[in-house]
Amino acid sequence: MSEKLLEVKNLRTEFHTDKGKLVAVNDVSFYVGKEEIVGLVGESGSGKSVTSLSVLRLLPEQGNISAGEVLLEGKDLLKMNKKDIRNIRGGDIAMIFQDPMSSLNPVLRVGEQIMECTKLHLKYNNSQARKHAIDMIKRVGIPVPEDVMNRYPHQLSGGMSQRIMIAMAMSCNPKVLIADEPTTALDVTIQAQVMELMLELKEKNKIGILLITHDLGVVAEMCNRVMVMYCGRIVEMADVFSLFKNPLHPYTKGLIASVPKIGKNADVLPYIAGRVPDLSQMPKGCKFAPRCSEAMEKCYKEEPKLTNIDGNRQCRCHLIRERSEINE
Amino acid sequence: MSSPLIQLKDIHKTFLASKTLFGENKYVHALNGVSLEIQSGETLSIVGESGCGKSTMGRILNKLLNPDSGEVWFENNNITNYTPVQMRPIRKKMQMVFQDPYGCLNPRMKIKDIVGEPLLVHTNMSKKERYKTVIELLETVGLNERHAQGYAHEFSGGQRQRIGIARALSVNPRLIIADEPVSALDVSIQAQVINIFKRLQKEFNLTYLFISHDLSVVEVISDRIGVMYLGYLVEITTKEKLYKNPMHPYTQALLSAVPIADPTHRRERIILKGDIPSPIDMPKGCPFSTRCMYAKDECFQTIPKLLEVEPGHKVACHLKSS
Repeated sequence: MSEKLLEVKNLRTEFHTDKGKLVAVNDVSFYVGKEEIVGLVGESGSGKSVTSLSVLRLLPEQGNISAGEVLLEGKDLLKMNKKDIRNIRGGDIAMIFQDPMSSLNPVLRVGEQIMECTKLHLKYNNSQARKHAIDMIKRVGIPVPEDVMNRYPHQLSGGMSQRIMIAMAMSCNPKVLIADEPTTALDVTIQAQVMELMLELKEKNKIGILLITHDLGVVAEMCNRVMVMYCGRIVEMADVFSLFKNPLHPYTKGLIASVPKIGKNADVLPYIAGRVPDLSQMPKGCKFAPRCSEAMEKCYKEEPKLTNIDGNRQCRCHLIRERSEINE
Repeated sequence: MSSPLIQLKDIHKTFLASKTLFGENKYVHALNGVSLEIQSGETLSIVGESGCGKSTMGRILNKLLNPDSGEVWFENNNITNYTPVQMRPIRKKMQMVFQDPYGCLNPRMKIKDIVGEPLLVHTNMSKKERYKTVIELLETVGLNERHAQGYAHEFSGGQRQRIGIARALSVNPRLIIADEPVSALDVSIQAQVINIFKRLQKEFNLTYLFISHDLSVVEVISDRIGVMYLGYLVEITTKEKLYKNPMHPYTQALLSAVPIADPTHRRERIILKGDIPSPIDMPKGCPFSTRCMYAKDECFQTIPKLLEVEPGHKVACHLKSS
């Protein structure tokens, strides 16, 4: 097992709304190791972005982490004061967001925005920061970095802005990179470029990456381990090969089956019936039971626990427990 | 072969990008001489990356935009210069389904009124008849009478897209232009909606123009596929030929860039260099020449024509035509 860089233990995040208290993330535990890409997949509303925001305590005002620990090399980020967590953000843990256009400041030149990071975290002076920024822009594969430094975000294309975001995130040598849907807003040929770049950075800088995405294709091509989230819970966790070869949870099975695959030429696509339940109207028992084709009576009454299987994977499903008990 | 349902002939379209006080105005070249035809009952998909002109083409087809030059033919009539009044009976036969299921439904209208509105405009059904038809339509797309009284915000993305489809179907169109209809949806929901599109095509003998950026979705639904780049149609052929034998270097790169949901499947990927050039300052020769790894002198000088290199397989590339 690789060294644990970032470890999340029993994280629970709640939102206080007019509809009452909503639990967006419930008892989520995982870790990201060195030189490892861990994927977090799920549909919209499954709680994957809230999980990533909770790690850096970037939740909006209504959000509240009510239980759990977030450990960065053993230090609990949730117990830190405001000043210390600010040093972690953009320092040891960097984040890339989905929409590069709206995460860059439109009234500042790109160069200044990258320089800001190193000046703050590494206490660089102006000329050091400038030199480092140019170096970073070059490393993310943008030709003529001196020219790009002086541009404003609106003068860059989507792919270029995402590269700038990556350059900015990488500029303080983070140990962990959290990438929330980094390629979703990009075209496929540009997505391929950005994916290649992230893989390269992982190898060179030996960082751990938490990759949040809804695209199973991206997961299959980039991740070492994968967690599948549904309704704020992790329903399955496995290494990428086992997950795609032998998905255990009915939700994972359905998700993988519903992705159209080039060359397969399916006439009718398999799909998961129904929709993700509203957070305020969570079903009792297993949250996936109303959409599950294999649901039993027990599934509607009692929520299954996340169970270890074969030592290195986990699944939250009554069926799996039943089966394993029979085997025993 | 029967005559095509709809035809585009050498369509050019530019948009004014910036006006200068002196000298020349700058234009965005959205479509540069696009010609294609869609046969009745088939599904033609147009794929390409953002800014390639695919949505502009959809809008010119149903005359939400007028082309600068070129002709649009529908059911053997040249509708290029039709007035909005003349277009009204034609629009009844070509309906649209839009990308954003949140933006295309009026938040102040009940679902029954949204789906019934085309009937109000195009037919003289009584209120009772309209309601009955609306319920039938909702049932065809997998919703029911209970949903008719709701407002758009009560529905999920997938359900809204079904409402959009029901509305498009209401006036018995022959052609449905669907502009990225599933790209805003989650995979499990996306599969539901694609299946509805496929089922309805058989039931109502519909013709689809399906605009998408996702090559894996397009394979499920299409008969023929056209690939666009910078306002040019660079390749068009049947689905089987396109996936088995992509001829244009751009199509090859596009296909290899699609991530495949199978970790055991590792392949050589063509990583294109750089970005799509700006449609304001177009490359002089072949639009793809700036990123193409096979580009030779000729490619930087002259624009290749879309030529039939095999029966039913047209490509615009100097490498294939010589």
